[in-house]
Amino acid sequence: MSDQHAASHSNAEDESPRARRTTHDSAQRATRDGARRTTLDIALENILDEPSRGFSAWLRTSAGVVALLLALQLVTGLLLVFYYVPSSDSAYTTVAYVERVVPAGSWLRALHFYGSQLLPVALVLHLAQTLWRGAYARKPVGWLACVTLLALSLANGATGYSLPWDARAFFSTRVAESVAGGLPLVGANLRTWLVGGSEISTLTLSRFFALHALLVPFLLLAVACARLLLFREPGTTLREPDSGFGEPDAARAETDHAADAPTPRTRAAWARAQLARNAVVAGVLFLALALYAYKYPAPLGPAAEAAPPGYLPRPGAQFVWLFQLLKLFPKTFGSVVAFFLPALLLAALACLPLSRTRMTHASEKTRRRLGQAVLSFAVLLVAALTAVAYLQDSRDPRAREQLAKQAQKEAEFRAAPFTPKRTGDAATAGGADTAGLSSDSNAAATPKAVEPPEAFTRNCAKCHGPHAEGKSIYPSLVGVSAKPRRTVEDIVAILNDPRSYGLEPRMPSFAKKLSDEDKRAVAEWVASLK
Amino acid sequence: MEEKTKTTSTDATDARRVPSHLRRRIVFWIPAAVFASVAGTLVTAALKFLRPRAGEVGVSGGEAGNWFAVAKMGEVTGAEPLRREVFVEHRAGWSSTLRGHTVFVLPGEDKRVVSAVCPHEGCEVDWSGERREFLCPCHDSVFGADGARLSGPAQRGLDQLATRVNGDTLEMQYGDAQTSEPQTDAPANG
Repeated sequence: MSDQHAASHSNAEDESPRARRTTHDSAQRATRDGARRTTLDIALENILDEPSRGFSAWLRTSAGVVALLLALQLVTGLLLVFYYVPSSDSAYTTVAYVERVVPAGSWLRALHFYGSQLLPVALVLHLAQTLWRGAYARKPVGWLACVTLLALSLANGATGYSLPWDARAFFSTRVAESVAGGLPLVGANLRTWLVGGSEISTLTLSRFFALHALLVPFLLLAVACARLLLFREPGTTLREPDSGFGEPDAARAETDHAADAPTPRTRAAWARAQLARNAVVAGVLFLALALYAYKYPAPLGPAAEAAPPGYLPRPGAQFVWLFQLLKLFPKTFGSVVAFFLPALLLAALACLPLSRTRMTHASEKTRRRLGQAVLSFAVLLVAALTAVAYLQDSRDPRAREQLAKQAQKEAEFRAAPFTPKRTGDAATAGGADTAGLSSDSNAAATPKAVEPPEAFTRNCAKCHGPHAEGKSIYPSLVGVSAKPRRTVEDIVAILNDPRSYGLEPRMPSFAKKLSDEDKRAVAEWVASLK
Repeated sequence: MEEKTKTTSTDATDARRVPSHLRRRIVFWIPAAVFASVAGTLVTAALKFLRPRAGEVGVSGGEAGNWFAVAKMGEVTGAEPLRREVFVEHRAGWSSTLRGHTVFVLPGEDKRVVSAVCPHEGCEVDWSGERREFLCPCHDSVFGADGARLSGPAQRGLDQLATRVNGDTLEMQYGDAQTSEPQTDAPANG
């Protein structure tokens, strides 16, 4: 609906709905003139930078890629939480269930997994693109937000890697804990706070889950919202011509070439075209990621407690470089390097646009060079270390063989049928005989070291529970040998004649029901219960 | 769509190739289509992902058809209802839980088995030997020795379970009606 159009019509027919339409249109015009702006207008003005065309415009679609990946991580993460349980007992089972049973579970988890590795890459690309165009100087808040998002996405990658509680999750937690513990001064405290005690336990998993699923995503969203809405970025609006902030760049030169400087109107047109470009690139990326995730499910190693000896844990692709870095340094120094190197690189990048106003044009150029140097160094370092790590694994025949074996095991695990985990108070429920369940399937989930003899399961478990833990009025037999007159011999005697030991009539005699061997097996097992 | 430029667009060269009204439409529809397909894919996956799985939610264990041994035939001769607990595996997704469910074998020739779950709000009734009635501890429903409703807020008698005799063992069938504890008035469908 064009203004001219509406105006001419409202002249023709004064009263009637048209009149209202006119007021509506003038309200719209007022909005455009800045009298009244919506949240969306503010967000748009904050993210819009100088228009550019051609390759530069397509390069700038890294913004759309970041937005897509962030949204994808939030959505897939939210869905995974519907099944996941952050406890060292159940986490692995729930992830295996999602991976092997739930429709689309493997795909969603793979999207989340690969998305977490692509997000830092997309953010680095976005930073590079912003830096090379000089946009970081025009949009300092955007730049700072992007660096923060990079830090947060790495933090979330690190905490998320622990959650499946498979062997590689366990070892990655170990390494994270150990790196934290190796830091000078704060190390020991940081480690206990992170782990939630003196050693890795189910509390560690709860903590990592809280960080991964609540705290860090909250911060991510807060940063994104602050970047879009909270801070006014100077220099570009849809309402007034460019005030000439920043410095001319390739894009700008192109615009100049296209006759006149961009007006608000051409900016708006460009913004729409740029949105379409972003959508095209994000759409292609989503399609590629979706197909890849469908073909290659996210890895899930053996359960943390069941890692076979010689298991080779490998970190997520975005941390392979840190993993390689840790091989190069002795313990404490390794911690310092692994922690401070990324921290310093990120801090250096974050500081780049600060105190812009006091800078002369010359030092502005130096600063951009500096930023480019820091970013290039970081990217080259990460790329080189990652490449070395992968090369080392592929050159080492033993590692190659072991990794191939692990992949084979994983494929078998994926193909095997899923057996649900016995949960709840299975032990006190007991009664395996009546339920017609083998006591073995029961025992798999309970941490009892020694399984009851078959005679116990068949004759005694009905009242005393499958592991002699007792049930309603029937007493627990655990620790009974600590009482007087309850040696193995005594228990055999009780089985033969409970009355003589003063037991209630509810306890029947097993004198004729059990063989002597069975009585002794039952008595020895009961006496062993502590 | 408040755009009214014709050829003054920044992308003047593109505008020359494609008529502006068409171009504007394309520029609008591309993001819309991408957003719709990504969102559509994810929503479809999410619905599949979250849908409760029929084969897993519910009861399993026991023999085929969920038949559970309740008592030996020799045991069910007395004049008192025989209280028994049947342990049933309840599967829900990745977890399975063994839960005990109390049933009573009623005295009499036909060896009927009733669930102890009160058909009112799902509390567990108990047999009172002196009153020779089943009493619900929650809302004072009372049932006779044959399981029929005598008084109280319950709308029907205790639910009867399907039984069969297998050799010298009395077996009962545990069905979906027993898994949902506060029961509806729908007949138990074993």
